[in-house]
Amino acid sequence: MSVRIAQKKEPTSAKQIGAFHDISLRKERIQAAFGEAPNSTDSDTNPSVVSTTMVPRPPHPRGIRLIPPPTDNLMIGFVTEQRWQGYVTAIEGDKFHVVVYDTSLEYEDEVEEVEFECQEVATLMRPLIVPGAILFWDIGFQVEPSGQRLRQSIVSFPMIPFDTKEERLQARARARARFQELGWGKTSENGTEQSQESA
Amino acid sequence: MQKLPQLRGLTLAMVGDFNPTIFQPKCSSENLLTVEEADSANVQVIHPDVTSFGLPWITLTVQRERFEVTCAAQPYFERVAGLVSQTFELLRHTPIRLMGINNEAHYRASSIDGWHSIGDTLAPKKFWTEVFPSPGLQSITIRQIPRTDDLDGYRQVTIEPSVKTTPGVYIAINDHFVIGGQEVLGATKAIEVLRTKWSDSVAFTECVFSKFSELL
Repeated sequence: MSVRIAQKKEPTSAKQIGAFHDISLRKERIQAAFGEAPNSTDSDTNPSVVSTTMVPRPPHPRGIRLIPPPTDNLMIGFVTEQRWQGYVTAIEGDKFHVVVYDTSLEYEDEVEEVEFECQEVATLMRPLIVPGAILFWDIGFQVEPSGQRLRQSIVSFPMIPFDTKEERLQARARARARFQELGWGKTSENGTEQSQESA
Repeated sequence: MQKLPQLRGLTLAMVGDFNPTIFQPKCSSENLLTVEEADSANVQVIHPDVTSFGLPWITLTVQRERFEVTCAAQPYFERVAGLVSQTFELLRHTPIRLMGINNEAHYRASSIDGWHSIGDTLAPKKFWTEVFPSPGLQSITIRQIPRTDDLDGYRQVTIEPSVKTTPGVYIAINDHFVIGGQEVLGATKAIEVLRTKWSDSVAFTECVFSKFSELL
């Protein structure tokens, strides 16, 4: 009785560049080069000390690529001592008045009125200083990359837009359609502008 | 009195298909960064595989499948959220599958005993003392899945000993959103989720941090 030992088929064409071959690759090797796309949005700034824990797959799969360089720690930090939230009540020239309440549970009932200069707000946020606008006021220490702590008072406004450009266009189209339904004709342009503002 | 964190961090992460080279400080809209900020940016690399640059208040890293902005100063968190939402409103056809709002904090423990008691509260040692003579908590993650709102994803809280503050505790909150599931959607949906859930995420984070600060 003859025993045939299975021999891996390796056609000569397999060694040619671009030629078809059916060499099976181990899953680990595939993952190493072209691993699955990341499926986590987690971040970790608390890297544990060097460990010998098994890593199931390489941290930077998906082929040979550049990876982000180690970031120099040039960012400022901030230790908030007290935080208030409030809203703008009035604007007088280059100053504005706000009503704020403490966000900490201990002092949440305390409401105060404060006056700020517009220049205390970052340039990009100044257009947001309007009556009724919500703001945050932080007092604490800004931690410089050098480690020096500077006492700071920072006023900030939420910058996430309430609506997207697409939603504004849709609102404008709805308003225009409504004006046409009402037959307001020539005044529709003015009306549309007004509805844009209210949108 | 409520204990204050020694460090706070925010990372907004998105997973999808990105073109790293278009993320450059000087290509940003004037509504996102001032000209002075764009000029003073510390550009580390701009390449089809990865872009990384920093400003004093953020570090932005974009790889082909991941976008990440990190900030370590709480007063700028609102600006980071605005930056991300306005960036992807401009790049609204960018496919995004996942989004995460990550808040982190390092708290200093009042004493070594207090530090150990947090570990004992979160992971009682009764079982482990039969296995190890002196067991200690290294990391614990609690995840709420499904989310309690109407969106796909989860919320998770991770507690570890802090590597930045000794003795200290590191708390990380990952508010994770699945955008569109198997369907590839543009960034519009992700931005809508960010706009509608940002405040809720901030409130949840503050609630968790406040609860842990009572333990310290």
